[in-house]
Amino acid sequence: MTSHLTRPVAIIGAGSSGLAAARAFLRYGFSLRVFEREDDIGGNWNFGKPHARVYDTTHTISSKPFTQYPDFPMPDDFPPYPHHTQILAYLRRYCEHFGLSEYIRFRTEVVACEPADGGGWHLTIRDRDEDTTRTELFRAVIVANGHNWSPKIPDVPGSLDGEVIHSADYRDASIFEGKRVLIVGAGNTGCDLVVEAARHADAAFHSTRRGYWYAPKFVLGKPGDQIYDLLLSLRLPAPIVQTCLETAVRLTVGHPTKAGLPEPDHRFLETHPVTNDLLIYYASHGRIQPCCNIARFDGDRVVFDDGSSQEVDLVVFCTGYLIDIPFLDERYFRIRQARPETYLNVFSPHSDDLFFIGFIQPDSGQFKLVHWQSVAAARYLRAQLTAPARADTFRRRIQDEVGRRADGGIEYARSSRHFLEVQHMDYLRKLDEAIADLKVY
Amino acid sequence: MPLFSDDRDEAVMRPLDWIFPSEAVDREVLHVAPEEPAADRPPLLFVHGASMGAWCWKTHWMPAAADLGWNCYALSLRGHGNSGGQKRRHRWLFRDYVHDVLQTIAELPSPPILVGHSMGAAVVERVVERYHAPCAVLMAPPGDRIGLVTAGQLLRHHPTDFFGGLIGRSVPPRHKYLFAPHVDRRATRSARTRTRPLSALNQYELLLPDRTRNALCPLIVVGMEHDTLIPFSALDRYARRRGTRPIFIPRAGHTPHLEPDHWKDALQITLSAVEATLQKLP
Ligand SMILES: Cc1cc2nc3c(=O)[nH]c(=O)nc-3n(C[C@H](O)[C@H](O)[C@H](O)COP(=O)(O)OP(=O)(O)OC[C@H]3O[C@@H](n4cnc5c(N)ncnc54)[C@H](O)[C@@H]3O)c2cc1C
Repeated sequence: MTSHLTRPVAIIGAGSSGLAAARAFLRYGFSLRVFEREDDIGGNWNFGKPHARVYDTTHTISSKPFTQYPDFPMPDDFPPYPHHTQILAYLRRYCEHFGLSEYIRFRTEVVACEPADGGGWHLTIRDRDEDTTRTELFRAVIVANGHNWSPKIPDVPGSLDGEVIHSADYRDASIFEGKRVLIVGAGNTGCDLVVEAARHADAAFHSTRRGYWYAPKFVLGKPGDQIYDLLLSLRLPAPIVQTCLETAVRLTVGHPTKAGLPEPDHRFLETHPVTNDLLIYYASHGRIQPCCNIARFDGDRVVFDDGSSQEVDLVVFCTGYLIDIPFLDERYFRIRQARPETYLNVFSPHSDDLFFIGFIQPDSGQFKLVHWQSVAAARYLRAQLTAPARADTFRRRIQDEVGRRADGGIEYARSSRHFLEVQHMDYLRKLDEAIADLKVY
Repeated sequence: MPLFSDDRDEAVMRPLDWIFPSEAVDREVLHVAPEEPAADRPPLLFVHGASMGAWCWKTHWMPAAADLGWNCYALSLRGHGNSGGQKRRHRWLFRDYVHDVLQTIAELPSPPILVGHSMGAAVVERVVERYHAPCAVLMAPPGDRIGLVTAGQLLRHHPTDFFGGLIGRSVPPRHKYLFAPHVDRRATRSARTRTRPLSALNQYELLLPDRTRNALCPLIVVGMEHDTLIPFSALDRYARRRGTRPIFIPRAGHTPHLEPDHWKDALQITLSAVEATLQKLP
């Protein structure tokens, strides 16, 4: 029995989520082991690593107060929207400050994860240097392998003479030089890339399925998300918040149609917010040509749903990423009715000792939310040892709340892009309740 | 109404910090490294009281603690010492000082033990409700309802200071407030060359009873025998409410680390309490 209690928990991934989890589980007295398949921390923010998805010009979309961990602020000399190199430097400092490095095993990849009889999990771990695998037993498993790395590539009929890539393989704008470039998708990456194409390519086309709202990075001289937080903290009904935001957009960068972009077919916030001032700027200077959905490839041309076509040398699919947890039976994180069958995207109804950290797509920064996810998970595991009655109550809560989404009253567009979408204030309030229920000291 | 209850857990929602983050200002951080650092000992981070600056620790305590193997840091809160924000000194609130301390902490290689004095202790209390330090030392803390007791003391000893304070005038750094009565008045004269006027907003913040949350780490509450501003009896009640017993520094006044005759004993008593607390940590 004692060996079971002192057995370490396993954390899969040393990106921003895995690090926050390591810190929280250490704080609550667990011993741990972090498995990281690369030779360094940082995951997505470690530019140039095979699974990092930032590109040379990436700055954060969310401003500092929400992007940083709540107990470890980003330095004052970082700008409001730091560059990816600064985020990586910040993660390194976090790791050093809280002494997390000693728990991380680099170049070890978790290839399988099975529940053990009598509690805990068997992990099969591949050592990438020696190319050997071994299986070990852990007290609990924290899945923090990220959800922004496995490219989602749409099926387009026909074939194109030019090159077709996914944004996952995009590093810098040099590939645009001298080409006619089509960017597909209006997520934050797609919008960044079409702006780069407008600057560097011979021609820049932007194919989107629908019209979108483009929020500016600054409103009233403050980072826009801080104004947004002000609206949310006043607890106004969602339609009023949406109207305020739409008005703010009209008064700053302007309605998208003014720049010749398609009319949004939905209200603000119903799709994941896109923050980009430059897209509207370049579109209104005629440097970005909006196009509708792609119908097919045809030799040197791309044909669109409305029958129009363009000659294109390079297509970049910025069509997002798939939730991909290859080492785990899919029933533990199943998508039903366009949302995960979990409680708060962290707790699985099928297991007491399995947690998902970082599986959210917030309308804000990630690290803060992930910190509190980790605290909630660590407390639940701790409660199972020290306060079983509380843990039982919480277990019932998990069962009752499965699949309920923290959407702040917004109905998100039904697409795989919004499976993990959460409204951050609503989400934090719900996490706060969970954490308060799990008082363990 | 209990000011401290066990239900005041870590605050997840801090909308004020997200919507109106503190402005960045330059920060003065002093560092005295030990020649022979003691292994596995967290660094000390000192936070001065109102109108003082990092200098007040550098005079005696930092070099002496470094000699004993402690890695010592001290910061000047904005508007104090040689930190920035002097021109807008009267605008800064405790939450801005909390920002300064957290920023300094994030620059250190490992979590520090926080040592706050007077208003600095009130700031440290607010830091450790969100940051998990190994432990924190609160010297003459004005937290809880002690602000009201202090106001009563002012009214008793210098009613003009009390009424001046009420209308927002800076309470002057009198000898009686800073030091024990038998301490040489030269100590006050030398301190006064470096103190800054107290800000009205901070004085009001000190006066108001606060509802601080539970600390995330053990607290060491330190009281002084001849503290005019914070009588030991009030401090004792405060410490009990915080679930601890105060440490008592005999013969010293409100600012023991600047008292020529008492700083050494005060340091020694404080550091042994810290060591005892560290040993009890899991
Ligand atoms: C272009 C872009 C811009 C973004 N901008 C922002 C922003 O402005 N603000 C914001 O908050 N978020 C932003 N994000 C979201 C970003 O994904 C998160 O901030 C964060 O990096 C997610 O961290 P994570 O730890 O969950 O995942 P990751 O960073 O992907 O880390 C996962 C780690 O797990 C490791 N791993 C995976 N599988 C295994 C395995 N089987 N075994 C061992 N190790 C494994 C990986 O190597 C990786 O190190 C952005 C994302 C992209 C793509």
